[in-house]
Amino acid sequence: MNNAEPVDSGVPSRSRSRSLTVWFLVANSTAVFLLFASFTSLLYFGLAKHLNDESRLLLQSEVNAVEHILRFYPLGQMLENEVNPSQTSEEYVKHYIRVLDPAGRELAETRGMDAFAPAAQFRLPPKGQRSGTVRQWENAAGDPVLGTAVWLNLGKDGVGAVEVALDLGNMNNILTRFRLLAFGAGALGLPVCLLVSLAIVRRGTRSLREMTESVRGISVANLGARLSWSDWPEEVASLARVMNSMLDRLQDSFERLYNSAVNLSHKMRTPLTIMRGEAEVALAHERSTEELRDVILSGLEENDRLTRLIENILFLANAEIGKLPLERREMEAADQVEMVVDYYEPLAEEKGIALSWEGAARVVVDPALFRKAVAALVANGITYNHSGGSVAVKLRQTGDLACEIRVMDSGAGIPVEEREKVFDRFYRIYATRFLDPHGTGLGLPIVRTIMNLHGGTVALDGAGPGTTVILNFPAAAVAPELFRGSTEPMSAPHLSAEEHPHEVREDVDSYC
Amino acid sequence: MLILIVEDEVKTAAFIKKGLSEYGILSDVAYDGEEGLQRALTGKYDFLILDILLPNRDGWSIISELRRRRIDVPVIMLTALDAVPSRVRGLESGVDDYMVKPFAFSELYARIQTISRRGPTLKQEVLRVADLELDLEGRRATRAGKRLDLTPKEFALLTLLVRRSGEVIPRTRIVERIWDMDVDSNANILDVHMRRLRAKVDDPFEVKLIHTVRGVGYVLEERQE
Repeated sequence: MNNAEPVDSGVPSRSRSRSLTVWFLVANSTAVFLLFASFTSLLYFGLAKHLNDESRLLLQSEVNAVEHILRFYPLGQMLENEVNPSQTSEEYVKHYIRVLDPAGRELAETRGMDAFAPAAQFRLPPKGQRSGTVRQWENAAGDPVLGTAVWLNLGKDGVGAVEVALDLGNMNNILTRFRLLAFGAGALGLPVCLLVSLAIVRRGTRSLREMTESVRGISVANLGARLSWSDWPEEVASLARVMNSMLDRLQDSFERLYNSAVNLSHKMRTPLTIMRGEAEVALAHERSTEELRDVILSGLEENDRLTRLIENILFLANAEIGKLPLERREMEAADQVEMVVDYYEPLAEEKGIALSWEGAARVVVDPALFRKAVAALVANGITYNHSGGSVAVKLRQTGDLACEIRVMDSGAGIPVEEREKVFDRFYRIYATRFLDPHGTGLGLPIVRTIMNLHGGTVALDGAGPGTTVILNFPAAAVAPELFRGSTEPMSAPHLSAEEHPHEVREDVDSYC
Repeated sequence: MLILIVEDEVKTAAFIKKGLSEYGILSDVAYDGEEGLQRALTGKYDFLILDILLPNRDGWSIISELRRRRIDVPVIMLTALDAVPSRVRGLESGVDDYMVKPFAFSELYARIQTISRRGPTLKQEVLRVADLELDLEGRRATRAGKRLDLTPKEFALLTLLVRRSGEVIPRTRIVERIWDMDVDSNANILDVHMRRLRAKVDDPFEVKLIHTVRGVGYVLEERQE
């Protein structure tokens, strides 16, 4: 709320700021890796389940086949073909079958089954219970075996049993290879993913780094430099545009500040030169008291000029950064105008100029500043005028507590091409500057500043002869009682008043 | 009256001291804050002129220390032009008045006079200087028994000069007091006003009462020549 307070530098400490690059790298890689891992796991477990189901079906179908053969073609060539098929080595999932009589004696057996799955590794279910459990185990050689033992129902010829085993080695190899490939892909993919992410983020933040470099390069010496955002992405480009317009404003302020400093030193040079010169000349020889007195008096006058110059400059500077407390209150504008006219009347009369005022209006203004503005215009009207001329002040109520003040003179007038320039600090119209050799060129800038402080406007009207300046004081947005004696904080939409509510209520009358 | 000037800028302190001695006022100078405080604590001074920025101890701390010890010597503060802190404006810190640098010596003197005169003063109804008489209640001015025909502003101006008779009143102070204007004009309008007043008060009479002090202001007094 108070821009006079020291502003936080706004630069976060190094430790608190996190790198966008690192953040994106970690987030992106984690996301991609999690996606890959869940997808692969799903595939793997699906495949494993499918293979397991298939193996069990195969086991069951072998049992069914043996039962079928034994029921219809007991112990013949058919059984032998089933137990020892001619091309067993071609099978992907190799199966072993052992047929037993009711006493548990072996009737037929696939070759090599004793070595692969000895009878001891099977457990027949109790008699009368047909199906045995399907089990998986590892044989002596470490091969994975899926096996079962089942009592067969062979009709009136009695019962027998069958033991079937599947060699799951090839199938497990599939899963093992799948796992290897998946881990390999993961191990290789993670760095690739990191690299790709890095490339993306580097590309994405390239404009930011370029911007950093560009901004770093801008200093007071090249305030005219701007960010070229045309090949940057929109998000960054819009930031760059905003920064460019900020630089425009900074450059403008800075140039005005610089020009002010130059003009100010120029303005100060004249009185300083006079003071120094007169003092030096006076000291060069013996002087009478009267002569010395004149030198000192002249020095005092120059000193006054310097003091006034400083006061005016400071007034403008304080107003510009909102450090000037306004003390607005409701009043009759005519009373204030009358005070001004009262003060300037003798001067006007001496110069043979008719100074008059008319009209009435109620306003909410800072009385001292209001008078200062009107006085500056009246003084100009008298100064840049001729004997027999006139200066007229006209007041008009333009709304509730809003008013228009016209200050019209019959003087030299302001050429159209100079009308904006006369509001620049220190600017003086060349043709008429001789009418006020000690003028500072700050009168109209101060008037404009006062109008800005009140949220109003100042304008130069129409064609000559003479000059007409129009001040427009708008209605204050806040009820007038708030302007005086209230404990409520000011809420007028006015910058300066808002920023110094405590000072607005301060009563400084008692010690002036 | 004995005044203590606490000011580290040697030239400033010197011209204040010299200026005061012209009016017959004695003064001592302390060039740093600590020395200033020690001297002020002796209680022998009637008045303090105090700079804010001082070596060793600033003006604020001197005042608060004095007030804490219940030493109620009047104080005029000297401040820089650009920074009249609200503390000084409100005079809540125990300061009686303040002067903004650069200031006119006559202005400083006028304020010292004003503050020393504070307290119970008799409200005079009729003011007299030589044969000039002001009846404040009836708002009438006469000179040598003859009524002067003055406008209200002229009467106010004359009253100011008569009240401070013998004292040089700076131009800016007159304009502030009478017109409440913050003058910013090289045209010396005050001279015109004074000329008009003189035409009525002095011109018809042998003895002139209103005198111009060039470069400073005006004084109303009876001068023996």
